[in-house]
Amino acid sequence: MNTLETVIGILEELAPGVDFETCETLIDDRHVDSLAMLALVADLEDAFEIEIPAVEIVASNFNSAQALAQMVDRIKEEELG
Amino acid sequence: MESRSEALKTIGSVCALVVISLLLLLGLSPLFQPKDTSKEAGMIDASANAIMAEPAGTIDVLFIGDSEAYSSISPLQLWGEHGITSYVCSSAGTRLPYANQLLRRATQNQQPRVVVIETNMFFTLFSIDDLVTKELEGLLPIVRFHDRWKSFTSENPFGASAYTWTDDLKGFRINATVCNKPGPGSVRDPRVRSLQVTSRGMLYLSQMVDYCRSIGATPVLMSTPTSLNWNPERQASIQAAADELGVEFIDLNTEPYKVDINWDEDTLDGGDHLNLSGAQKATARIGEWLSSTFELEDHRGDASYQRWQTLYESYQAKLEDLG
Amino acid sequence: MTSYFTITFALIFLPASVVLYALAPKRLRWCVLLGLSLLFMWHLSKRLTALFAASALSVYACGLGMEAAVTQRGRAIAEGMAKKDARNICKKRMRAILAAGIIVNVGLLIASKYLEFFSRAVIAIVAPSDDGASGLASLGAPIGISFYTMMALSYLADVYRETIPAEHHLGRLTLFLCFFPQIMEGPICRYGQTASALYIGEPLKRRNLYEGALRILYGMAKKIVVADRLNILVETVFDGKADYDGGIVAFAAILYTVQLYCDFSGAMDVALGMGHIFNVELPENFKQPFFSKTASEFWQRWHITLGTWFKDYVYYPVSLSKGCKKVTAAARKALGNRYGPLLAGGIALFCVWFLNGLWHGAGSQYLFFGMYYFAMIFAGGFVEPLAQSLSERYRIDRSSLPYRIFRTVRTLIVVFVGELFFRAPGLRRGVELFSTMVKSFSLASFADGTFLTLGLDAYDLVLVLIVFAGVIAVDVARERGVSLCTELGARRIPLRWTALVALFLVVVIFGAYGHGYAPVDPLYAQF
Repeated sequence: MNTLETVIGILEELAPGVDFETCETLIDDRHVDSLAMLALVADLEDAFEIEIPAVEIVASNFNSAQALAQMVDRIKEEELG
Repeated sequence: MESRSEALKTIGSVCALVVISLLLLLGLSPLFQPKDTSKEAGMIDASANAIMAEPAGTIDVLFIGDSEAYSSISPLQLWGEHGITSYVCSSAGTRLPYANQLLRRATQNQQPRVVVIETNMFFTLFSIDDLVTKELEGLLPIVRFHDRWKSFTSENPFGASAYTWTDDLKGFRINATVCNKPGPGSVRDPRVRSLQVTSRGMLYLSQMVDYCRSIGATPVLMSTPTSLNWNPERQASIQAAADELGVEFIDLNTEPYKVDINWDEDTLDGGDHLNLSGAQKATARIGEWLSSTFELEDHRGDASYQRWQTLYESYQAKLEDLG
Repeated sequence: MTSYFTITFALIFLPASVVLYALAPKRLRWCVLLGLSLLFMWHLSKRLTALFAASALSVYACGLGMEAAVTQRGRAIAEGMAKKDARNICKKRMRAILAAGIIVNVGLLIASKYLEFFSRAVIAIVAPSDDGASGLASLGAPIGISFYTMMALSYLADVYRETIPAEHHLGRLTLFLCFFPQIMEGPICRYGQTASALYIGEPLKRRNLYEGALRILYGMAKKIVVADRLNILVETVFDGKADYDGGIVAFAAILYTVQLYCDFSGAMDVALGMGHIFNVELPENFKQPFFSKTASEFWQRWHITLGTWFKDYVYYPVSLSKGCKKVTAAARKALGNRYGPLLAGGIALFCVWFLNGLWHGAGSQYLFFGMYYFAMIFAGGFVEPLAQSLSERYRIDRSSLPYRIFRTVRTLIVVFVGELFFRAPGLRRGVELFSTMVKSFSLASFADGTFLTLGLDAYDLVLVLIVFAGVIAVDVARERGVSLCTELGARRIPLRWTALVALFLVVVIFGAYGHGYAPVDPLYAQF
């Protein structure tokens, strides 16, 4: 399973009823609020064994599943390197 | 700017807009100008400005100042004792830029022989903002009287102004209260009141003095009796200003002009302002000085000044009522 | 010249600034802005400007220090040190420098605004019987210290997080911190938002000049026509000694909210308008707050730059700290996805609102105000899922108009009550007013005309109603994505100029200034 699919799986569990494959306004339209964000970060950290620093918590990283997957890949790469 | 022609276009637009705005303010000003001199008509500081409704050329002595002036000088007493016609143009907390305007407004159709400038306002500080605001108010009545939009419902805003309301006390305010404790407003904040005539104040003062001379009036500086506002430092500062301007300075707080004030009985707020009995003493002294120094005409008995005599009589009756 | 709303600023300082900017060569324009900003600050704060200088210097030094640590890390890795070790050493250094920067800047803020409050609090704890102790006197605050300190801290944090490079030029950093349109009341800008635009020195554009002027006049109308007028009534009810019935208190609380909105958002219109003229787009601070559906949303639309500052530099750092993450993990196992994060979120939320209250001032009413919103938003976290399931069960359409109106009105009531406590001089008076409002609520004062004896006559109230309706209409348009400034800027001259001149006349004629009105300082400049 690639990163994007895992991310979408996590999102669907947290906020059912949103089309995560196409939605690009998760934060702006308040599909993911600040509390869901905390759960989301925890799940991502568990699933990918990474640490997401507070600096990454910006709307541009969290507005879509794609952006989330890109962030996860980037952090993974940085931690390996 | 992107290019020269663009820049010129921008400058042109800005200038055009400024001119249009100014013309509109000037054009709308007559609507906002009060239609009479009374407070009811919307006149600000009606008693000071009602001098505009006095018959032309009838006022020989003009007093300009702040609350010290209107609580210390009674023109009707000057009439009764010397036949001098005078007027007090003053309002609470007057600062020099406004005093300058009062002076010019008062002399629009009066040719006073003497202009007495009360000195307490020399020490009321005014910021550049106060100054610019006052000057703008002077140039554009709409700025000064803008709040009169509320009266438009009850009057014809296009009607012409006719100044008819006059102040029966000629700018004096009777207050017979006796109180030897300073009121809450008497506490002076050093940020509001200085001990020296400021250079900005001096600028206005010299303008006023020059103006008086240009209309053939003798300018004089006068400090009315006040125990709270007077001190040697201020007196020295006024004296220095008077010397520089070449005008006489009459200090009613010190000899030789000292007025015998009882600070338990002659003040309405513990030495800040005089009450009626204090004002009577101060007016008597300034009257003596005026009549002995200037050859002012005694208008008593002159039929064209009958109105002054009538007002004086009702003033006397009022004083008797007050005891 | 004590604020943007004085004649000397509007008619002399600002026009002169624009002319100087236009005449200066491109490369020196930022120096013109810096000179003007320092002049403005010196004029308002005199010797206290030294405190600002200390802030700017410390921030500058810390930025360079952190950058040096990063450079060293790169060199160490190039020389063969293990990446992890090099990173750890760098992190440690940067953390120390960041801490020093925070201590200096927060220290200066405390010394100038909170010393008296804190020293009194300490005395109250150490020697509770000593009533006479007055504590230490605060230094006095230079203009905008609460705002530029927030900007300084965000700059330090961003350099630390390596999201922005450190600024190498002290003058440029100083300009970022004290740019005169933003120094009095914000908006609280991030370095990444405004810094580059400040330095480029783009030439003036006629379009920006027009739009900027229009927005400035719009802001002035809000502040001078509505807010300053309402201040008379608000002062009478809140600061007066007389007792009013609950209806009047509620009336005053609503009008104070309107006043605060027109005052603060008006000042922001002026600030953003000025920025626009200089081609510096400052961030928006308001986004139609009265259309919010929840208290939490209200704070994402009101004083936005303060809210996002707390979110980025307090809420997430706290809630995603190691300790809080553990709490979240444990709580989620026990309570599930929805309620699990509430605990860690609550801790972070508490920090945010405690600091938010304190930021507004060291008064009990401000601390209470912070705790009030903490309680409201925290409770919202519980209620929201409940409301969702209830509405599903009873088939209530949550997107229907009546439900939306219900939520908006509910939020407005929460806001009015919050502002009632915020405005009251001290918590005791706030509680007193609140209990009056609840216990003796009646509309009698509106029937017998008492509400017209509070300093504003019927003309004033009708005027406020009309102008505020206009403000709301503009907000409705903005909510639909239409900016009237931009819209008008694109029209032909007759319409464009008429709008500008008409707005100018509205301010001159209907402004609450001059004879009979005491000048009102901008409300947020005191925070």
